[in-house]
Amino acid sequence: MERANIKRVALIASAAALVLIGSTAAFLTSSDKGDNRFTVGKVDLTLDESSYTDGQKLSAGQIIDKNPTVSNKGNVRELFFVEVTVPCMEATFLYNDGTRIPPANIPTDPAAADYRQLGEIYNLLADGGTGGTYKKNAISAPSNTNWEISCNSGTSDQEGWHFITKSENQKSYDKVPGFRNGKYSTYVFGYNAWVEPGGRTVPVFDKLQLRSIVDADIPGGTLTQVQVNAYSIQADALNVQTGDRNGSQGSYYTDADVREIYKIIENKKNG
Amino acid sequence: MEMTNRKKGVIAAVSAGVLIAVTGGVFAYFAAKDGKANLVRVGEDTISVDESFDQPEQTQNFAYRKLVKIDNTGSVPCFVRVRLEFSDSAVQSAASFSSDKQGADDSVTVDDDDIDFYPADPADDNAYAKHLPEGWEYSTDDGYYYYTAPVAAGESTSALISWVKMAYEDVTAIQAHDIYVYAESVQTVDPDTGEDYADPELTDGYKTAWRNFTT
Repeated sequence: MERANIKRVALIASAAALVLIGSTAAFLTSSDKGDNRFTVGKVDLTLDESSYTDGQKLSAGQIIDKNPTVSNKGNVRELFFVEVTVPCMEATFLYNDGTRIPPANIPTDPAAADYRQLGEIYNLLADGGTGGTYKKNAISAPSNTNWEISCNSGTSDQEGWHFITKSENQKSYDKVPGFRNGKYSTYVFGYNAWVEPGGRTVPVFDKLQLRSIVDADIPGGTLTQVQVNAYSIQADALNVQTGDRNGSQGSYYTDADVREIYKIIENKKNG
Repeated sequence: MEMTNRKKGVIAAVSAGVLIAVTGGVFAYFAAKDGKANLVRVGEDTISVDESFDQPEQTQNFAYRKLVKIDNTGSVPCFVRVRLEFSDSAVQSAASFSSDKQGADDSVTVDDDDIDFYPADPADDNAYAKHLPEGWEYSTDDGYYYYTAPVAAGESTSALISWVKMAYEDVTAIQAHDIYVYAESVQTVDPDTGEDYADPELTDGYKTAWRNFTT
C-alpha cells in the first residue's frame, strides 16, 4: 500500500514538474540569435630573393647579391625558419695570402694532391645593418681566411635571425636536373619575431661568395645548388616555453626561445 | 496533489555544448613551406691563342702574316698578358712587327709604304713595344705585353701583331726560327675581397689584378 502511494506521489510530482516547466516556459522564454562566424586560420608564406639572378658563373672570391626574405601570405601571425644548403667539394682551399690550407692529416712531405680536402665552397655574407653591427658568423673561421656563414642577427631590440643549428648531408630537398651530387652543409636560422599578415622579414643574409680555391680542383662550369627552404608556423597558441618574451615588437625572442620553437618544425618535418 | 519533501523527480537538463576535438601533439599546428633552388656555376678562366699564320718561304727580306690575338674561352671575364719570344736572339734582331693591315685579304711586301714596321726587340729605341696598337701596353719590368681592358667570356683581345718582317744582314744569316706566343690570364675579381677590377671607374684595374696574382 505504501509503495503504491509513493508511486502515485512520484507520478503526481513529475506531472507537476512538467506543468511547472511548461508554465515557466510560458513566462520566461525569449529568444535571440547570434551568428558566431569562425574563419579558419591560414598559414602561408613566400620566399623571395629580390637581388638574386639564377645561373651566374662565379670566379673565386666573387661576390653576388643574394638576399632571401620571407613574407607572410597567410592571415595569421607567423614565425619563420630558413634552411640554407651550402655545397661542399673536394678542393684545395687557400688562405688570404694565397697559400694552401693544409688538411688535418697532411703528410710530412705533401704533394699538391695532398692539399685537397672536403669543404664548403661558398660564404654567406650578411650586411649586418648600418656599420655591420647586427651580424653574426655561425662558424669559427680558420685564421687568415675570409670564411663566413653569417646572418642579419636579431637582438633584444632589433628584428633579425638567430643561428640555430648546422647539419651535414641532410637530404631535405630535391636536386634539380644536372646538379652535381655531393656533400653539403645545411644551416638553419630562426626569426626572433612573429610577422603580421602581409609583413616580411629582414634578409637572412645579403650576398653569396665563392671561396678562394685552386680552380683546377673544381671543373669550370660545375653546377652547384644553394637550396634555400623557408618554413612558417602559426605564432599563437604554441605550447612552447619561451621565457618572458612573446615575439612581439620590443619583446623579441631570444636565441634559446627560437631553438625551442624550432623543435616543433623539426617534429613536423620528420613526422 | 501536493509535493512532498521526498525525493522529487529530477529534471534532467541537457545542454548542448561544443565538442572540442583534441588531436595529437604538434600536428595540430598550422605550418607551411616554400623553397628556392638557386643554381650557381663555378666559373672557368681559360684562354687560347688565336693565330693566323702564313708559313713563309724565307729570303733575305720578306714579310709574312702572323696575326695574334687571345680568345677568352672560359665563362668569366679575365685580364690577359702575352710574351713574344724568339727561338734565337740573333733572329730577333732581324725581325720587326706591325699591327697594320689586319684584313684577311690584305697582302704586304717589304717595300710597302702604307704599313709601318718597328723593331721586335723591346730594347730598341724605336721598338714595336713603343708603338703598340690600342689596348696594349708593354712592361719593361717583366717583359709582358698587357691587354689593359678586361676580356669578356667569348670575346677576344684586339690583335697584338699582324705582320712580321725579316731583314737579314745577308743570306748566310737566314735561319729557321720560331716566334713563341705565350699567354696568361687572370680573373678580374679579387679572390679575397671580391672586388672587381673590371670596374670601368677604376684606373689601371688590370695592374692591380696582375699585381695581386703575382704577389
